[in-house]
Amino acid sequence: MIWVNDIIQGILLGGLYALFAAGLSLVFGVMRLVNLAHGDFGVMAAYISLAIVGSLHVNPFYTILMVMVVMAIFGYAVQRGLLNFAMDAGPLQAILATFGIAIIIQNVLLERFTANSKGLDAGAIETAVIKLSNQVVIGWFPLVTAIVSVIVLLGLQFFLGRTRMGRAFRATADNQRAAQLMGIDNRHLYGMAMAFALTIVAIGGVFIGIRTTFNPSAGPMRLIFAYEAVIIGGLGSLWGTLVGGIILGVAQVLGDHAQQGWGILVGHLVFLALLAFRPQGLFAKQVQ
Amino acid sequence: MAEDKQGCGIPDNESPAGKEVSRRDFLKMAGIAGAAIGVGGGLGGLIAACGGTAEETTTTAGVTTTAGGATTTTAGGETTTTAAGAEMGREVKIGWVTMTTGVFAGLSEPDDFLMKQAKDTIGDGLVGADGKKHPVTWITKDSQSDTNRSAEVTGELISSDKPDLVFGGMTPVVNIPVGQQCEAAGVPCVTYGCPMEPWFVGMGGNPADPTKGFNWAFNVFFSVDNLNKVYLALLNLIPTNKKVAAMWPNDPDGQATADPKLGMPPVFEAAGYTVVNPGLFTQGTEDFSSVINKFKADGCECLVGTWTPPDFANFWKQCIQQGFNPKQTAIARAILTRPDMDAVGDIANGLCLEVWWEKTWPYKSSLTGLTCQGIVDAWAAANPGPYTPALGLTGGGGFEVVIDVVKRTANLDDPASYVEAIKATDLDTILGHIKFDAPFANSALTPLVGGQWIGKVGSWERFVVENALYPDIPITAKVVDRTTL
Repeated sequence: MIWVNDIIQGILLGGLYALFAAGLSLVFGVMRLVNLAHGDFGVMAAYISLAIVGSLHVNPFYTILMVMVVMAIFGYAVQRGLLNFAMDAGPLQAILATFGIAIIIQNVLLERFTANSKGLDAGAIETAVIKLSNQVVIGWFPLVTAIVSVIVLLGLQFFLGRTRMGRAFRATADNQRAAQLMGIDNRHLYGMAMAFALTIVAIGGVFIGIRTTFNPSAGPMRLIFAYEAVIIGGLGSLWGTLVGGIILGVAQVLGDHAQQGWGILVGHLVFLALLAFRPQGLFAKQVQ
Repeated sequence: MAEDKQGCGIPDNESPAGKEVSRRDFLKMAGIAGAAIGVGGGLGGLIAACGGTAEETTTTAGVTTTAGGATTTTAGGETTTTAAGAEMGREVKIGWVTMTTGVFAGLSEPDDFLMKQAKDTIGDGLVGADGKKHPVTWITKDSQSDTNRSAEVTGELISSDKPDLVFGGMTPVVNIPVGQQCEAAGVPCVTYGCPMEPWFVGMGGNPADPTKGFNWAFNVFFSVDNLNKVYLALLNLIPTNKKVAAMWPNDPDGQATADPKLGMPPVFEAAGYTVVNPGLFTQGTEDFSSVINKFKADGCECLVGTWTPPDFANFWKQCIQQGFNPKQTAIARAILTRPDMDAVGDIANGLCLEVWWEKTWPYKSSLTGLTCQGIVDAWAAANPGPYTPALGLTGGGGFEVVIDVVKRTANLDDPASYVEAIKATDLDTILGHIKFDAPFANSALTPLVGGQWIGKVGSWERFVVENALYPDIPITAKVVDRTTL
């Protein structure tokens, strides 16, 4: 029964990874931008939530909407004001620009919030559980995280498949020049893509802030897992990201089950194995 | 990510005693040469930005280039021009390597406060052994909580600023590289805040021959031996089935603690405890459910371990979720400060830990005369946030010691004379009595007792519940079984 519990925890953990990785997947899918600041955007969202909780004294869950709005505006501004220009200069410049943004965010957070660990206190739900047996216990909070992750991905799929802007996203992803010829303003579109990505990472950031503690330098670690989830699932594939997150989560938990301390290593190994044998990922749309 | 992997082109710092011009020196020269011809200001600025050091004094560039390969660091001829009256002596330069940024930056929170306090107390100079008044210049360097960076800024400090004395802290990450650099360059050095044994071994000492020490580097803190005793005493305070769940990370600290011969397990086992150690965990692990289930299956009633704050918050929430509810705990590293406790939340109530400084300790500052409580009050008057125990460690083990050393140094031009003064230290500080007579050479032991956090988010109080090793430190509360809270 311990195995069952481990696999369940791994799947729920995968939901968290996917929630964090969805925005990364979107940005890469639409504009082929490797966003090294993604983890730091998530941590920034957690701090924004913390600031709102500090002034309004509400449960962090209620701050999510506000954080989403702030992050969306921020994302649009950063894309239009900086990253679009960096992308014009070349893909390497764009990567370096996101790296620079990551460093700036870390240091601004350090200046403003100090290096102390912070946490978002969501109350009783943090430790509330559904107890199936003595060994199989599902925490409400991880469960809610996984459910939200699925809802976000469903919403994103609906958006990409059924709306005008979603079609424009996909068109640009397929062929940027052709899309431009069809009258799509790709600068605005990229801004919107980043805004959407940061809206999603805002949710992920608040959830991570509730799940554990965070500090200004917590972003890069988040980025690694998010990347692995995206790449296992296949670049640009949303459901692939969910599956990738779950594979990573389960691999980590089972690795730790086999021998304490192996979890993260096993996760990395699974990632490397996929990169070696199926570099396009499990669910990649185009094979190059 | 905050490390120096940003393509700044700064190589690892080699021994400052090296004769070759390193690439960094070359870059510096290039920057200065560029600045000289009026076009390289940007380049020089870029290099400075890459260094990211917060210096309190400005360094003239001309000194930097020539000092690259210098082996002697205290320039006897370098006298200060600020001496005015007859009673004024030479300026004393003290270099300080601390952790202004990076993962341990929280521990350097009191730095500015303590620096100001030291400067205010010293005023225009310290009266030295020669009866003259010596102005003190402080040069602060940021280690960024990183080992390589610590070595690099210390090398830079020694070669370009030529300090008479270096101090710094804390944790092995800073103390060992700082000590090694000073040892290589022949600069007197006192570090605070790294436990005795890991410091001694990390510095290259042989634990089998603990009396053979180092020429220039000294360290102030408790010993791991005492830490093990305090943890055992904490567990003994609550009657349990003596089964201990152990969680140690896969880092040098965790490996040393988990060592089945020299670490913590044999100490506990000798006292009748069973240690369930499932293996070292990787930092950053997100899910601990399998190991928690193992602890549950083995019926552990005690929990001992070392975590970073985020790992612990994660682990502890999952313990509560999965129904692992130990009666007694001894938590290292993760819950040192009130903000750490706030971040974990109310479920952290009743957790126990080692206490290496607290406001209730019965000591006085040799610098200001303030009691521990007095210093906390002064901190509270000047700062909005809660105090951290680093206030006592950096203040007592750092500032008080170096200032006392400068006062007693017979010949301020001779580095060996500073070392004589360090060895002769016999000082009552806010951190306890400091004397470099610990079982391991070049080390001064400071007190260690056991404590328990009681309260809730926003109002935590850390009580001393165990004082067997240092009975002069008063017990401020009786321990509480945390499962009854």
